[in-house]
Amino acid sequence: MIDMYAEIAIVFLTGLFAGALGMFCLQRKYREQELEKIVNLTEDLLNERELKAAECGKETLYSKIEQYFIRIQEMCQGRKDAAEKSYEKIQKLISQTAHQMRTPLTNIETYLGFLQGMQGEPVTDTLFGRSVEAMEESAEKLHFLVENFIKMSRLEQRMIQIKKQETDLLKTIRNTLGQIQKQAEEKKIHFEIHLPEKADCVHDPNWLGEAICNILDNAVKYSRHGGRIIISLSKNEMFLKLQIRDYGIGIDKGEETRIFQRFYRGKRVTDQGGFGIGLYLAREIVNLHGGFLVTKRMDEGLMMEMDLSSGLLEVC
Amino acid sequence: MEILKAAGLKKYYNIETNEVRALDGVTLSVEDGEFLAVVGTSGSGKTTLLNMLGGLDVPTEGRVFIRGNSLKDMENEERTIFRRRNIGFVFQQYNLVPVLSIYENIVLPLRLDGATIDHMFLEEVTELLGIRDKLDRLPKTLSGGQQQRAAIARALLVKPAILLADEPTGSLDSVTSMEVVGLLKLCKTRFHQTLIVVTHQEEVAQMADRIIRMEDGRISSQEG
Repeated sequence: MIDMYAEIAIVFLTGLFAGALGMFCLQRKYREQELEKIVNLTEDLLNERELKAAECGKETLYSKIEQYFIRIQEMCQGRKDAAEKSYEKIQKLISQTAHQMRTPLTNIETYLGFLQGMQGEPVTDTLFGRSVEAMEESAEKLHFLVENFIKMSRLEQRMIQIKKQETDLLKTIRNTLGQIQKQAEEKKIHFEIHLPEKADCVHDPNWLGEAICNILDNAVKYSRHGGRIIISLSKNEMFLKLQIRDYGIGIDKGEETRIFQRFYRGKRVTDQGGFGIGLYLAREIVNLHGGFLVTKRMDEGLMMEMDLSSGLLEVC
Repeated sequence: MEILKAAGLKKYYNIETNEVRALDGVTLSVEDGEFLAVVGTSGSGKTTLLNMLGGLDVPTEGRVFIRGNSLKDMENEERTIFRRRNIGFVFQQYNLVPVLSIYENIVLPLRLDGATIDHMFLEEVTELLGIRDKLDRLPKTLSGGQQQRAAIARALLVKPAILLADEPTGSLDSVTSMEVVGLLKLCKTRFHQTLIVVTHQEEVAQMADRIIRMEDGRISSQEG
């Protein structure tokens, strides 16, 4: 009797043991296969082969690993592509700037040499005047190129720090009008200005001044000779709205987002100078002030609208 | 690389005897890393389009492909898992779970996927969204704008490949709206994400790489 029970027990235990051993071996085989698949994935990742989502919709660990690897590959590739594009753009800008600096420099050298050669000889006023004028023009062009280059490098190095020290927005706006006056007069541009008595807004006068100046600069640059520009500032409870409307060449339909992109120049631009960073910079600055810059295509020309919070109360 | 593609999407509803054409033939291609804004009047089909792209709804006709995988041809469970792993969604009505705290709401998708919670990132995002001190509160004790920001944090925390946002700044004032869009763009660059935002605010749309305008269930124009 006991023997029979013992036998059954032995058979049962042996069977159990064999089963467990079998399971163990099978499981180990599965694990190895899975690990091999993962090794293949990592190899593909290392060798820059595009990973294929073979098991994307399964609730397994392998599926999750595959998913993470695909994301990693996308992120790395994406960042690499973005960096390359940026690098190309900057390279182009550097070579364009250097190229454009050659002509005015050569001009200055030429006229300097010319005047030096006339040492000891009587120089007529007109000749002297013309030479100086030509050199002045070239110096201005060089100044413009260098200033833009500095702006661009500051942008790249993220050196834009906003110090909100000024509250009188009218003062800042009037300063920029002063800066743009000469340029506007040369093109006989007529300004229509509508400003309120008082406009308080906590802002950085240098940077915001630069932003407004960039917009005004564009307005003048792309306006026709003898054109007009309307500048108006209005306020409501929370916002100050500055609108700058020009009747110049305007932009094409669909360019509204593009004009704010770095190094983008409008399709209608012909021989007006510029690098395509004025509006990009202006929008960055306005955003850093907690405001926003929007553009509206008009039948003739363009309307730029800048909304700034008065900043005197904290809104949650 | 084209990460998202919609081919001839149509969504027709038959309500009583009327046929409503929410989407009437939409074809769209989105590159990875792109920021797309979808603009249009109410009823133009923007939300329906977003639901199709996110796999939350199935079109009557047409297909949606994500990385070449057709969502329609997946089993329900497969689609759910695929969605959970690849897509972050910000709903117009926030859709926060009322019985969970804000913190629990934000980490819910991660917990469902068994992923680890990036606490530093959570702190950073909630700080930038201004809800860091409200993490232990219940949704109903927060204002609409705060709830919306919690919903945005929830979507961002997953670091999805594609972020779909339906009027994410609808309940926010203009200053906060721009901050939120700034944050979305920052995350997009950092984690190389594709961002599709439905909005009626022009200033939000102009922050995008491309603007799609919709009318009567169709794309009326593309800009950028």
